[in-house]
Amino acid sequence: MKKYNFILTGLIVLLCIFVLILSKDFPEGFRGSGLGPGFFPIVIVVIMLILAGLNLLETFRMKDKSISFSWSTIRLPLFLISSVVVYTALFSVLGFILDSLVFLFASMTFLKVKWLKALIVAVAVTLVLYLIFRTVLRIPLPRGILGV
Amino acid sequence: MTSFFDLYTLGIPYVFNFQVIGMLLLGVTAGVIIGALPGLTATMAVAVMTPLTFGMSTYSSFALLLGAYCGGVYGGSITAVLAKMPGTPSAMMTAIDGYPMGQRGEAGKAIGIATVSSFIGGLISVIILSIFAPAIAEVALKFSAQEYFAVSLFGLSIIAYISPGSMVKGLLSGCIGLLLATIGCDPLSGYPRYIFNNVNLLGGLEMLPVLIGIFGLAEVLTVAEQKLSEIKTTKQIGRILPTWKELKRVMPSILRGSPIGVVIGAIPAAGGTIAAIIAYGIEKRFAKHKDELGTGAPEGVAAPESANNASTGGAMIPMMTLGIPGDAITAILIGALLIHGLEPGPLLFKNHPDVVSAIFILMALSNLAFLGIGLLGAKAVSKVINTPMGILLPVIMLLCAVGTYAIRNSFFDLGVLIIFGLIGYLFNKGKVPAAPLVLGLILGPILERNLRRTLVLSKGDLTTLFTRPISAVFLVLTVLVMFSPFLLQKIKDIKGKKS
Repeated sequence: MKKYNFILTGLIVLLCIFVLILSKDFPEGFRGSGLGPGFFPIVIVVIMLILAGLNLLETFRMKDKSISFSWSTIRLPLFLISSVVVYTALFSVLGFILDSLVFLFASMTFLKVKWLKALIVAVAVTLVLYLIFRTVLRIPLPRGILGV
Repeated sequence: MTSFFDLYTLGIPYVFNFQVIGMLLLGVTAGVIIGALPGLTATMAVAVMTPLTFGMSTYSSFALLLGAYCGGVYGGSITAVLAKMPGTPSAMMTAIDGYPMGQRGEAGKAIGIATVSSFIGGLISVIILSIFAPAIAEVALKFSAQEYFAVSLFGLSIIAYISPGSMVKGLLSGCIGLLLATIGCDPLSGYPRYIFNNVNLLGGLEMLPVLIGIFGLAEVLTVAEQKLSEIKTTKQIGRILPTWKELKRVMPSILRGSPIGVVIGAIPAAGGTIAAIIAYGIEKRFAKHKDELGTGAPEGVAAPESANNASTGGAMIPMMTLGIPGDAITAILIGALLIHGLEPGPLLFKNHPDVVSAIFILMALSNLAFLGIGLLGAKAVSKVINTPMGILLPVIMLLCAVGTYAIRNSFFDLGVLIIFGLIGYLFNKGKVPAAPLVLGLILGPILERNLRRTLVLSKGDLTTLFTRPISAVFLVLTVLVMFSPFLLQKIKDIKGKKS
């Protein structure tokens, strides 16, 4: 937890510096009032730097509780988020129906749902969503290689 | 010329038709089920359903979302009674007495009392909302830049204070939200900021993909970390409809819990969970059978359940009158209003009295709907609680992705969804509250516009913020909130020295 906190504080300071660099070429405010587009972000950055300092103090004083980044805890979240990335990447190629079927079936079987159950749920959910989005709400979804 | 009663009657013809009522029932049913499923929250229910409302009429979409909101906050209590874990965070306190009641074979009684308490609490809150919101909107019409700045700042500081974990982290999270809000064209000069030559960012970050990422996707990832084992639930439920005698016993608790819920709900960013905690605390002091609390006393179910549902109407007050969300769900509802070209705030009451009136009526009907569903269908809902996470998580994720895409057929939004899903997950892991980030993102433009307007009008003189009474009060409150942890520590130290 301590280590995570230090990393977090460091990231925040980096973010602040990044914003400051990006804001340095912003135009001046109205008649030199200093209230240009950069005014508000810079106020926030200053506040954040103060808070980051406070957070650092807090971190030094706190007892070290561990947060686990071990493989067994982050394995499932990591798999799930990657599967969404893959789903997105294949969305227009495979089309909504095929992509959703593959996504649901693959991630359910990975989460140890029996394959027959996973197949039935995948087909049912895909069909229901297709009906809702295409037929009821008339929202165009990618047709992909199936053409539907 | 609009008359006083228009705010209550104008919506009637729009609400009472087949389609809108159908959507309401659908929203409440889905809300109760998602609320009852452990790990899936009422917030998630509303976040996932918002993109579905894109092609609907304003009335149908609010029927669906308000139904899911009220139903979701109620639904958590069923799981609290049957499985000791809250279905949605605001039902946390209900488990303390609800679960022992279930163990005694009184699960049905506990669910029945929770249902009726939620209904009465919700209904009282709608009545208070519909009486006070128009009056507050009237006052808010006279607000100028200073007041808006002060009220928004207060909202932001209180969410940082209330969020679990360290207040400094809450404030940092809020600041990140404020920074993210500055992406896009500067509201006053039109100068594009932090857009990295990406046209998609010119209008700023789209709100809904961020919200669905943080309240949908990130929650799924966090749940996936825990063991995906099945939950043991009490099988024997019994009679649900409470008797007159049982109701008479808990009525004082309901009537204490409801106003607490409304008031806590109306404080920007303090939602149903806190309302329930405080209501339970009050019960411990004032209830007639206070010694039984914790061992399965019906009062311990009635008070927090009436309070958390009463917070719904309370949370709608600042959302509708000022555009400042009362909790995470009303933050999403702001996004839903914006989809339909409606900006929440005092002008909503002047320009769209029909919508305001419809919202009042729909909220009252939502409460009525979950009363029916709870009393008649709680047994059916209890069967769904055991749906394995292995099925639920992929389905919710698919809904997040397709819903986000459906908002404006944009792959860029899907990227935003994934990034904020990850950010939300990392926040959860580091015990950094994510709600302040969302509030910062919503309040950012309001804060910035009004701060700069104040400074331009007063030629850089900040004292103008303190010479106007309403803004002065809220700024003093903000300072008090910010320093309260330090003050409390000091008081403790002094007390410690004395003894």
